[in-house]
Amino acid sequence: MKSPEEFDNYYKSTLVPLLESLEPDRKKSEAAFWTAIVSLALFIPVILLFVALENPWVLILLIFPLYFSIKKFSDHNKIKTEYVSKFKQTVIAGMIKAINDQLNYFPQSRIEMNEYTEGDLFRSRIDEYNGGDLVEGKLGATSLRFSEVIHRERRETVDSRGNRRTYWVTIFRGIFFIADFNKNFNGRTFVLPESGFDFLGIGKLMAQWFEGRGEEVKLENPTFEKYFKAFSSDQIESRYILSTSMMERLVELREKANRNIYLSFIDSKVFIALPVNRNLFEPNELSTGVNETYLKEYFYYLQLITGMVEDLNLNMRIWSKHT
Amino acid sequence: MVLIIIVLIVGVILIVLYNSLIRRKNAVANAYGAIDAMLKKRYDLIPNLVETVKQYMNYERDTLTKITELRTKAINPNIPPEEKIQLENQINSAMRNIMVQVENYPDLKANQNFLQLQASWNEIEEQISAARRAYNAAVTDYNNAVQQFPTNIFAGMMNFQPKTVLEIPEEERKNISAKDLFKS
Repeated sequence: MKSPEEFDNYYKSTLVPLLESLEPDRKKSEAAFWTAIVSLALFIPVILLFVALENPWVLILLIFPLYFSIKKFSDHNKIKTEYVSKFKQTVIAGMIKAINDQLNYFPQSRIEMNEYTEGDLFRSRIDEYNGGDLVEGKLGATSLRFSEVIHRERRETVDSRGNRRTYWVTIFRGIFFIADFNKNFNGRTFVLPESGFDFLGIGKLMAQWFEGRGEEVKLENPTFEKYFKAFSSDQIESRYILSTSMMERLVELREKANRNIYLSFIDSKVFIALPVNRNLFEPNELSTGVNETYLKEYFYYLQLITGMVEDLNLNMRIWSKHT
Repeated sequence: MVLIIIVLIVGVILIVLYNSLIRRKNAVANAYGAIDAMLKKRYDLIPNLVETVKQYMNYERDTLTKITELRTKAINPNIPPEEKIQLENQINSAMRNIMVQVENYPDLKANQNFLQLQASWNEIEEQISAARRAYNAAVTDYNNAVQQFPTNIFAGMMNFQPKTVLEIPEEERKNISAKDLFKS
């Protein structure tokens, strides 16, 4: 299943009945949510009683609404988790298999932190790392795996009065993709978004120093240079990887994705980071599940990512790296 | 005191500029050497390829003999650069010819040895292309320094001339996708 039209058919024929069969579970989850919210209201009478009687001992009574609320929220959590799990195992897993049955879906797994750091795309310290919805398999001759990933760093500011304030910065959030590359190589090459800072040629020089990713590689394709800057440990190897054809493909991919993308080529693999500012593949318990819009968006992302194997022509194996 | 600092700063700047010119000039020589190294790899591969192919391609005997002769001439270190380039181009087109003809010999296409050699050949071709592009980038960088201000002052003093970029042969420029070359 590739095109939006094919998805429309798939939605009507396969997804609608599936989603309808899941509606009872969703409604259960929604009901549990509202019950939990309403249970908070039980705090009100106790507070009012406290205000009326001005007796602090009344506050002990808060134990009851507190216990009740906590139980309701925990119940909701359990029910929602079950619903989400069912949704993923049926709806999302089905969509992925329909895109290509060589792909397998593991909603609880993710790209592990060591794989993420091997790609060396985001060098900030990792204070929080999480993810899920792993897809892996082999398309043609290319093994691939990808999942949602979030990487955050904790930072502190100290203001003039010496007050410390901690805040979190999201370094990367989106889909992280790893695949076999179709050529063997030894060094490290990076293709990062162009930041556009260049003044008398000094900008590029400084970028080189601060990046620490090897020398800048100036390439011939002007559109490529507009979107990306390339760094590598080896000027020739980087051009072996970034052939004229590959540069064109990367430009097309960048335009298709319509956002900055980050790539690295290390250890004969390609690592691609595609920023997505939200959680994908989750159902919304608060509105009907039988809605094509959000599923079409998930399909769009799945197609975009699995399509990268073809878009980057990774299945052309005419060099000495075969399977 | 201030004067000394100014002189020092100017001095450092001059050193940086001079060194950057030298660095670029060396980068060009380095890149040229890399091309040569890749070409040598290709020359080393040819006898093996010719031997494997010869057993199957009866109709191409003449071309194969010609390739062997051209190769022997090309590895001679004493030939002038222009002749070397010419030989290069001739070997190039002869080998491309052979690779296209391979389509007519299904037995050859199934031969594991040949397939491995073909993959190595493709790899070397791409690496040569990469080396040429790296050379051209180094030359452009060097030329920029020689012609732009302020490094052009030094270039004038040291009599550095701009260099020419390599011409990519017309066939390569067409950016033949291997899909067209190796239709199977």
